[in-house]
Amino acid sequence: MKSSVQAAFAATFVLFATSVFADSVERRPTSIDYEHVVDNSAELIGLCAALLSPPPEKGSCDLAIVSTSSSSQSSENKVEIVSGQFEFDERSLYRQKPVPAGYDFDEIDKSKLQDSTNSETYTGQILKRIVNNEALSNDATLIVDGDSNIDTSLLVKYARGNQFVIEQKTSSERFNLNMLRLRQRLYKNELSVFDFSPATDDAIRDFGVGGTAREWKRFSRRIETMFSTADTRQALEPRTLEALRSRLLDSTGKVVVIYGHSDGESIWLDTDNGIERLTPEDIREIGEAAGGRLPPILLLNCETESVIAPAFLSAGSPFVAATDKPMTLTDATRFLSSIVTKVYGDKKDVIDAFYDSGNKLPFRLRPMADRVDKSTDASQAGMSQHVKVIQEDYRYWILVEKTSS
Amino acid sequence: MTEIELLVWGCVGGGLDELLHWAGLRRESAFPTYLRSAVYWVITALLVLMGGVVTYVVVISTDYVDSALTAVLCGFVAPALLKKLAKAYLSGAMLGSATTDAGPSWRTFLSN
Repeated sequence: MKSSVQAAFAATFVLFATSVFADSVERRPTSIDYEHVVDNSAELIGLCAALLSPPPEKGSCDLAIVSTSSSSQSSENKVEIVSGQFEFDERSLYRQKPVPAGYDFDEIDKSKLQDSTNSETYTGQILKRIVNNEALSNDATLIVDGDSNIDTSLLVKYARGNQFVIEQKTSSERFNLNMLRLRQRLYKNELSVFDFSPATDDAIRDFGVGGTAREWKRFSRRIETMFSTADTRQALEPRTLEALRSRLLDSTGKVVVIYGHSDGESIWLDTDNGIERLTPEDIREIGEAAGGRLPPILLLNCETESVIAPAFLSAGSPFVAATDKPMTLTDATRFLSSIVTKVYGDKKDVIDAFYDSGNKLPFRLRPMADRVDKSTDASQAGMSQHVKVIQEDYRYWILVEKTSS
Repeated sequence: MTEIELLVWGCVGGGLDELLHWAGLRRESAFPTYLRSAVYWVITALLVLMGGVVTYVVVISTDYVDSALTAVLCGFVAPALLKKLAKAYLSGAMLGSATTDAGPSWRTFLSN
């Protein structure tokens, strides 16, 4: 009798825990002034390196900056992968001031660091050590310097617990706001998937991709099958540029997944109206029309990292995942399948699902929250503004939310 | 010559094919990964073994293989045939241009 009561209690607890934790955001960036951290990253890492104090306590660091620096001791051909770990000033109410706490470095040949094809072979062990550093907490944020040639996708793959790994490429102001948006994001477990992969021999020829129409159709059918249940059916969007455009204008949290082909300069879309292209200029215009707030984007194309990803970030996406390498159809399908299972099956937040699918991450698919241009003038774009002032410690964040009037 | 000896000669044939395979892989940008990853060495070992096993099957089911030379040739052909099949039938479609190097994978390993 007693054991059945215990079992009933246990079952109730599991049910309660599932219902409470399933519908919440698990991974959020640490609350910190990222503008200050990014602008002073070299100095902050330098301070970590100069520490004479004992190593930080286990799990005490909530932030790490991962970057590279020229090796001070060896030849010009060597470079160091460095990681500075930071604790926070407990006296600060909102923990915005990072306190240098620990430092790791590993030397590597410059040519090996730059070898993107073999990044896991050459840097895998080093990056694994960085992520598994005992000083880092299970929900630490790891910022990767985007100019460092470090393969961020590996850090995502090795991340433990709810660590939040993100790449930062240029400057700091928008990165800070994007991280704030990611931190304050509401739980969302919906996707919008656009399959613009080539469906005809003509499209394959025009796109300049390999494979046959049969292979590409099989790929599209696999995606359709993924979204064939009642829960998921609405996620697969029509194959039109107009549908993509109108979806991008709605920034209410759904992550947009785009399958297609990219030549590095634009995205080629095989739509119901024939082949169309989405250029950085188009993305900029959509961003302006959306008042500088686009949804998070997963680009399951290749070579989108150089131009297309920055275009989406510049237009107002807080989070873009893109790669600089071709992606096999199998890898792309497996990754999306994992996300769909986590989002619709496990009821995970969609960005959490991205990180939780780290072991299925296609080659060099990296999450980025980047510097973008200042948002557009709302009055010109026919928008109304909702100004939200957030007080955090000694600073005030002003979030300007713009919606269509 | 016993069946086991012929199996060993078959493995030698498979090994020759793999030597040539690795010589070709040296030109691939993903070669360092292939070289350092246990997975690809396991695939290589399996292909060598396959040469021996196929030779053994031919030996016990026909009279065609009765010398070291024919066993080596038989062992050489088996993994080579498998790689040709992989090249022909594994999907060549990629979300990306064919001009850029894809990452290392067992598909590219087998089809090169």
